[in-house]
Amino acid sequence: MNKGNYQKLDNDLKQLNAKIHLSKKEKEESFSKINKMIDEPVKTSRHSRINWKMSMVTIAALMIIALLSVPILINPDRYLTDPPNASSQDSTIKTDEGMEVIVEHQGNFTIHHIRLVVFKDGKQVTSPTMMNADMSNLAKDSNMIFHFLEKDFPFDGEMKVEVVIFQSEQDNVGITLKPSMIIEATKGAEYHFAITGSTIKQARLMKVE
Amino acid sequence: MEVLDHNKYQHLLNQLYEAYHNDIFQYVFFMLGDYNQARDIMQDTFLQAYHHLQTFQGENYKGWLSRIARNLTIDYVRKQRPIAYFLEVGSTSNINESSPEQIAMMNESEKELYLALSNLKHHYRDVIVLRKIKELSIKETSYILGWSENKVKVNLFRGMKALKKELNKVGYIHE
Repeated sequence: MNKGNYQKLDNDLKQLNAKIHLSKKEKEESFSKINKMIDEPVKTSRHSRINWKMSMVTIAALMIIALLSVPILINPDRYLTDPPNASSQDSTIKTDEGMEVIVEHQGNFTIHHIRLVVFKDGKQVTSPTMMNADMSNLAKDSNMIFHFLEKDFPFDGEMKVEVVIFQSEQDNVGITLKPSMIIEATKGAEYHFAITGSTIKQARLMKVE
Repeated sequence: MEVLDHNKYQHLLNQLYEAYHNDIFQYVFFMLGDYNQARDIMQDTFLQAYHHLQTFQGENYKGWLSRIARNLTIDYVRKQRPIAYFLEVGSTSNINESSPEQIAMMNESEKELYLALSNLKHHYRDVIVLRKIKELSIKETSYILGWSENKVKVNLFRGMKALKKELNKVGYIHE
């Protein structure tokens, strides 16, 4: 989806708000109802009624949970142990295909473009760069999504990721943010990092939990 | 409550209602997709607010009212569809069933957008309605939802991704 479509979606969402509103008559009717309810004396006692529908649903849900729990109770080792490749990081979410690294610009400084450098055993395997199509600076709170497929490089366990930020189109050196991050390269993983800091000197990379 | 207090709070309620009734109504409507129920919950929101005006210490009335409205909406959904709520199933709102004139007058792409929004998980819909439709700040959204600002950002990002996926299914946005 290109930038124009994002803008269109944002505008359409804003316009949706204007479509829904109460008429003047409805507004006044509602307000009279509120006032009427305010003026009604507060009831001191309440007769609780059993909500049969709610109770039945709760019982059914508990029975389903109990049935599903039986295999876990019988063989807890099988179900409660993490699979060998499972990541415990909250910032990792499985996606359908490939692997995604999302870098969010939360810093209070200018970033023109971002480079993601991926290393395996100390060797650089890929280093894609991302910038706005119109060459404008990246907006604060914007997300850069780096999508990798297995054909780009083999998804081979632990890999190191460095984020390098560039402040202008002419900037050839960039600033490599600390700390670098370790990711588990697996098909379907999604990693979310944020660039933070009040000034460029304080720029740091953090994991979004 | 003394008579003087009653008048004072009644006056404040009038001002709050005048300023925010539509915001609260719209927020609940986009969460539920039911025009009449949204109206009822909007009324209950102001009624509850009136009874707690005395104890409210903050300054952001709009955020406070939105938070009350959200709690009432969640209570309502839990009572109506407890299983669906816990399984995070999107609302099944149907344009033809909840059809005030305004929805009927939406154009095709607006209806598609409205339906796609209804099909999202409620926590995605929640954050999109507040940030993108009601245009509240991250801080206000974070207060209303009771989430950290970071959680708001991450859920907004993922929610928008899910929304675009829904919209792509109906050809709303072409790649």
